[in-house]
Amino acid sequence: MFLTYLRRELRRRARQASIIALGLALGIGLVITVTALSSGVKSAQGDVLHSLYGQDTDITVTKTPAAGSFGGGAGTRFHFGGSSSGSRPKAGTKVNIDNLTSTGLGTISGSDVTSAGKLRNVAAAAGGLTLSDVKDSITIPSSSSSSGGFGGFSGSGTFHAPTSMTVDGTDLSGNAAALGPLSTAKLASGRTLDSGDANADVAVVDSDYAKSSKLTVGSTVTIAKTSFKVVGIVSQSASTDPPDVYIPLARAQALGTSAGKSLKGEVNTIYVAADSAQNITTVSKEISTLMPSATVTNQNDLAKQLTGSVASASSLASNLGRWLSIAVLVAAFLLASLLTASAVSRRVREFGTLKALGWTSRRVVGQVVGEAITIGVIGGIIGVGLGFLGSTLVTHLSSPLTASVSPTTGSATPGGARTFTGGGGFGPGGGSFPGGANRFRAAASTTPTVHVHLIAPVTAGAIAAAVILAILGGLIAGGFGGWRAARLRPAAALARVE
Amino acid sequence: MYKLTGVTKDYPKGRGVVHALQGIDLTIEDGEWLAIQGPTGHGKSTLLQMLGGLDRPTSGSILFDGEDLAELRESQVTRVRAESIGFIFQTFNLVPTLSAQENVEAALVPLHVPTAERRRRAESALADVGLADRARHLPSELSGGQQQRVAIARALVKEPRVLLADEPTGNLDEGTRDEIIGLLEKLWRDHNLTMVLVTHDSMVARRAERIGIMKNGRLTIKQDTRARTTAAAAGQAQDAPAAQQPTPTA
Repeated sequence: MFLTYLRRELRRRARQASIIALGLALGIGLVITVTALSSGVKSAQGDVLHSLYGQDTDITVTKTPAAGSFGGGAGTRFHFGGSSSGSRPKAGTKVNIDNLTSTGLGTISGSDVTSAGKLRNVAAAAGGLTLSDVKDSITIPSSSSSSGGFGGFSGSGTFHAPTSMTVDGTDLSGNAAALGPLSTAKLASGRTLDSGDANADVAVVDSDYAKSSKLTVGSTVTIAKTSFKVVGIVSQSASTDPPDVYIPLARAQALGTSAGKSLKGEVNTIYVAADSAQNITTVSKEISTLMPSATVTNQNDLAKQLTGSVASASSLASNLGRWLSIAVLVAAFLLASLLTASAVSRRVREFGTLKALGWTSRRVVGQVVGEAITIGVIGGIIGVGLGFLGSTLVTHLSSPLTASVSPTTGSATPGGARTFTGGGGFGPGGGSFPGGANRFRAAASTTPTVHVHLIAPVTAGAIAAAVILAILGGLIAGGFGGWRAARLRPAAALARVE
Repeated sequence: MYKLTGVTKDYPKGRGVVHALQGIDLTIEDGEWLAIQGPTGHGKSTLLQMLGGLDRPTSGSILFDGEDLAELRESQVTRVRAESIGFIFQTFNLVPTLSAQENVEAALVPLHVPTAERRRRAESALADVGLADRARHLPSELSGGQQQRVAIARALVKEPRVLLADEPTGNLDEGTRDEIIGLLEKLWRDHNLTMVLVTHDSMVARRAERIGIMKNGRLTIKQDTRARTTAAAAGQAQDAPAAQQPTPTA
């Protein structure tokens, strides 16, 4: 009887029931779409941040470089013939330069990495060196020009561009391999570095660099005049501007210099993983206490620094989107309640008759609530469909989002001021180089931009929330209407003229 | 069956009060047919609602088989209605979305009758009123007379002890009126019901055993043709003619 009565009654007021169901569907669909959008934006942010500093890395630690310690700036000294004294060879001598230097970040002692790893709530800590290997071949001029600076002088002063590549010294100890930029790279051929390579002259090369430099597994790449055997090629998103070459940290420390000083036992970035997401802030504070002069940045900080359409989408989803969906949902609940109460008012005589027949108030209210919940569930089903449609449209029609992180000195992005493909404009006299196919990398003055495609996934949680909202909407509407029906005395109900 | 003592019912109206019932004293025997006549607005339907437990008196007692309906909790009164009292209304009051059979079955739902038996009894009740072939029709597909028959079937399907009918022929033409009253009379005899029928139609009232007149909220027994009149008359001291009262404005 309950289901028969329910079905017939909903059919009788099909138009009104449809309006209520569609109202609820709209609210629920909007909630699902906004939730999916928020989730997608968050995921996109995570992709951006993870691509910058590694999958499991929660916190990065860097230091502001000391004045004049930039590699590639005006104060850089070349080591002619390996001598650090800077004494000038004879005029006419051809000098091959191959220097591995720290770019844009200050140095941190390796013992600080160990100390950071021992902090409470730290799951793992790894050190890293982001360096630049600059190669050039110059002929010492006969004039008394300066010994420093980029570029080569050749008699009449024609410049030619040195070549450079970014080199990442990767910590291979323990579970440090899960941190840092190499952890996000996908192996394309060969193998990646492991703990057995800690002191070996082996390298893993980025696929784009390998292609442009015609490198394969088994090739050799020269870094700081040392030959490294390429054991693997990895691919990473080019938009994140990954390092060209990865070598073991110990080798990078042995070969690299910063402001003329050896980098032995030093790193310029510490990557830290907290033991849980809840402890990231606590660990950040502990590291700041341990290293007061360091810049400690966690994912939340980086997320705040994110600019571009990812940030805008995030703001849109969490502010406008959330409040809009709440407003629509409240309006839908209100509409459902009012229309249900109106329907109950029109059936007062009917309910009075049923009470006269011996139906209890509870049974009558149950009938009203059952009808309302049924409408709510129908609205929920349609709402889930609308939510899927909305999120599909967002996924397929949205333009790729951009994200940028300001490369302020000491930023937690690996390598600090990340190096980027630039258009030249360096050298003592300024001007542009006829760079040709050479890629000249300079300390960044540009903001890195990452492109990510927004995917708005509808999760099981969102669907469950939709079902709950649908039932809640039905309960509120039915409860309100049922309460009105229950309050009436049968005699008063029967006296009502329809 | 019923013993009403000093029953009054007042309704607030604006700043004043409407005295719908004023000191009703009435005894209704088992198996009796009592008709209550009177002009509109003088308390006939109100009295019927009191008898059916659809409303509570302002004062007085309404004993139904020894239980005071005025003192019972709402759930208890609902139970009494479900088991013992059948109602017939002037406007039929069928549920428009349920078929004739389903309307009859609705009276058995509170009694938790199993579905199969519920259907069987509803079919039988419809057959008793001559509507077995209209079981699947909606009320909108039935004539006034047919709808009232369905209402009668609904009232009787639970085998009540009392049938309360409020103007059962009020919305029917003369021919159908006679049909319905004839049917009620037959069922009253066949099922040994106690029936209280409110009507303004003298032709209908005349067929009852006893006729009471409601005027200004007071009841006067005008006619008593029951077989046990002599014995009952001795106990009818409270059925005295009403005193002059102001006309109710309800």
